[in-house]
Amino acid sequence: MNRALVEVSLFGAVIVGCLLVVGFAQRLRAEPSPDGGYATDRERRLGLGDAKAAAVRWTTTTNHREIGLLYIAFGTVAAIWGGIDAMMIRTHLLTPEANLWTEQTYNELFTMHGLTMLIFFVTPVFFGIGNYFLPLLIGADDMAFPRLNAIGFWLLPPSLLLARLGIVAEVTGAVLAVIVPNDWISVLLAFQEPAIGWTMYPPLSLAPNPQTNFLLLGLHLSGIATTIGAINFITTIIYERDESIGWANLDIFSWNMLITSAIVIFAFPLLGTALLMLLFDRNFGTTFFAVEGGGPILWQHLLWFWGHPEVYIIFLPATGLMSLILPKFVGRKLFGFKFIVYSTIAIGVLSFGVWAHHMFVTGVDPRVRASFMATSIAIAVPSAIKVFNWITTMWNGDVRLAAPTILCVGSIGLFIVGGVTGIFLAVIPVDVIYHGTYYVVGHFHLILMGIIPLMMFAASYYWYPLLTGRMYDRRLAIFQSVLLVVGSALTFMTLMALGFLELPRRYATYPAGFSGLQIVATVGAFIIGISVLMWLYNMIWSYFQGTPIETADPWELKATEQFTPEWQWFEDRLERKRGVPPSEPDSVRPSYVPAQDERPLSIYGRIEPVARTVASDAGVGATGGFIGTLLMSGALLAAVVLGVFDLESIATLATLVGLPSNLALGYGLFLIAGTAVWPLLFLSLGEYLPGELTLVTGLWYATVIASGFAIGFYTGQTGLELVTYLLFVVLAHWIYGLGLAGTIASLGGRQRRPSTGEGGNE
Amino acid sequence: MSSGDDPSPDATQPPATDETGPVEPTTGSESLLLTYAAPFLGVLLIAAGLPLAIVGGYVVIQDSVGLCGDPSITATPVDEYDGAPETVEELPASELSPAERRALEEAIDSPLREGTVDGDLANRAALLEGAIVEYEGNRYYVQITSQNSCLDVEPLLFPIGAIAILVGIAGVLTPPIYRKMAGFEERMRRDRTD
Repeated sequence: MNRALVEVSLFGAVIVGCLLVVGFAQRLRAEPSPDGGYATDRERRLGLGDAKAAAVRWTTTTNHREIGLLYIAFGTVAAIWGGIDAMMIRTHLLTPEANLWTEQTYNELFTMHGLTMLIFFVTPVFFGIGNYFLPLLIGADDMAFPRLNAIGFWLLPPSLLLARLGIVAEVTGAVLAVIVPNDWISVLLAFQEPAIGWTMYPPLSLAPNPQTNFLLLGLHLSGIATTIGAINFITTIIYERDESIGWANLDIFSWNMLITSAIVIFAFPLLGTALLMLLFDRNFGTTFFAVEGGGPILWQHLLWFWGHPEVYIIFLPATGLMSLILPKFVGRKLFGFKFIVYSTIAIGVLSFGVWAHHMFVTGVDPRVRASFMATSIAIAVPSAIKVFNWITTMWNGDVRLAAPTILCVGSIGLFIVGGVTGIFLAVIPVDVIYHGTYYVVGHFHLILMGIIPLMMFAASYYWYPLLTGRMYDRRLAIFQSVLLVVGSALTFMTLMALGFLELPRRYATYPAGFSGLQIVATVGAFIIGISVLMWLYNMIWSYFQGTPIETADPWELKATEQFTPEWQWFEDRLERKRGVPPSEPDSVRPSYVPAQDERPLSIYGRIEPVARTVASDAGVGATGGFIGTLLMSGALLAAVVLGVFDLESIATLATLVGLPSNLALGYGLFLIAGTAVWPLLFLSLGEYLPGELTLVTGLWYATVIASGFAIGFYTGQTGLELVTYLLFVVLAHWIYGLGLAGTIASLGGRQRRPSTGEGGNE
Repeated sequence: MSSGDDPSPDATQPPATDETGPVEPTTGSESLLLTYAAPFLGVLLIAAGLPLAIVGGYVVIQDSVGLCGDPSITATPVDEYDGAPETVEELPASELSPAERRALEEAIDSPLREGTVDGDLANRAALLEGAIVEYEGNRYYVQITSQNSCLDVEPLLFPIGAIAILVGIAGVLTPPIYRKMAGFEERMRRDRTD
């Protein structure tokens, strides 16, 4: 299959889906309420002038909050792109051979997935959160260098485009090829996403693919952007703090951003230099990384001298968010604030002393290896301090059920597994065995996925009221959070298991014996993908349709004296913009709980309506049964087309009443039974089946009778045919149950029994 | 998205917060089974149905669209390797099958240096290992880069996966569907009472 077209189509589908949600949510909002409606400020249609004004505003803004939102939006787009890569990788690994994509495509996918996620997703999103909230947290008016801030962001879109120009050029070329001769666009067709691994090790990265040059340039540009952002954060924190905020009461997230930025300052210029050296090797014949020059190992030293601090560049802001958000939802202040700050500083320093543990298997001097083993194990200490303090913060706390709580607790769990498995990898003999296996993939994904995006999601939920003035759908958020944690654990623990079985990583094919675990990992990855789409939907939908908040303290932070400066800023803003807070409704009743009558019923009262209903509304039941049977016939027909349901079994139905085996006669009987017998049974027995609603009871009823059908109409199917047959039987019966119960409910043929003694029917 | 765009309160929705703080997401009268368990089961079904449908569906289309069976080769000028290693086998161009020859020409002309062997692959073993072929005065390192093998699974996986996805979607949508159902029956009952 053409990877580029599939990827672009998937990306387009997500974007179109988002636009549809926006359009639908806006349309719903524009409709007046039945009680006369309320004036909204978004009803006017967006004209060309408005679009132009918005474009100018968003491309020229120097406001830290708007730039923060731009960063977050950019990072989200990159995450979707990199996420699609990930889904395609997992799809490829469904089969042991390289069937769905080719080996080349697989290599391209894991190369660009890694780079997109590390460089264009995580750092921009954290810089976005920092841009928006850091000045609010420290009482600054804006970032220290607002224009530089804007430049820092606007370097990123072109850098992403350069880095991923291969796919853009390929798709453009494929589209143009329809109308333009191939010779004219051979330049476009020469581009191909690099398949060299995200670490870009020479000599593979010296292979003559022109796109690799653009990738290196794009990465270099993003490094410049990141450095600019880091300089801005450091200056802002040092010079723009409010007078009341000193180093001792600087909030923990700002501390983490400060240390992160310090690491960036030392790490990224080195990456930029190394990238330029590689570019020179590729294009100008230098030999920095050729065997006759510095050698490929030099690249590894330089890359990992940036690469391992980079791990902490993307990890520390996540821990900062954890330390900031977790206390708010457990009602206790962060335990051991000072020690968490010290541990952050320690990680910042130690992060530059561990790079060579990535190179234990390259044959570096044993004494060097031993020293790097020691520092690599040592860096676990400050990380563990954080974990212990988070757990202690929760200890005896008033833990509240909310999406951020689930994400925080889930993150701690996943990080512990990811971190402990990392300590094993720091030990030379273990690393030598497991370095080239899925164990490493599982380990670093438990951290990269297990805590970093999870904390981003937690932050998005925690600050959503502040960002939008509305509350997100909290049920969906709780559900989505659980899915994300479960999906991450399932996927990456399975990869760990594959690693323990010593399956080598990076290969497009694998022995068939591993396919079971690979399928489990893929299912887990799809669960992650689905949960991410749910989050996207929640964020967009709630922006237009979420319930407006009525207080600047949606998380009851004042009760635990954790009403931090950004919320105080929000409270001032709400007061200035909205004035008097909206009034409270007198009472609240969930709209999804059916109202029930008050008259309690006796046993007779419970049975009598059933008898009366059966007697008086037999016609309604028959109508429902007839409709249900027709709908069911459609589902069974699909099964016939697929060859898993034999019509002969319907034909032989006629022999039960002494008629010859005939399809028309059999179907006639089938229709009569579905119209008369089964609805009557439903009306009689439905009262004793679970479900407050007729429709739910109908589903239960259909499920029960499906088992009899499955046995009665079984015609010797085996294997997958049997599975499909059973699936269709259940599905057809559910359709029947819904058709039957839906018709009865709409025509009023069946009255509900009082299930709790507090409701009933006349 | 910014707080500058202050939304107007919508009186038709329950408040997310009140004076005492956030309104709990799950009320006591709510069925946890239908609010969380059913959608969770639904997501599991979708996540399991997707690979089934993809693999089953691919089997159906792979032959008709010609997605498998034709290996692809690359041809890289030997000059770029600074002289060929002596261990690499030399393959005379005359021994190439017509399909291999066509693929070699396609690869030489292609900006990506790739070609597809559409026909008999007589020198499969040699090309899998990689061989040096002298063609029209130039020497190329020719190698199979992808065998494009055909997937062999039961096509029935597709309908099974599709059904799992559909049922899963129904599971995910259970909470709103249940609310709609409740509203529907509520209205019906009210109408009858009136």
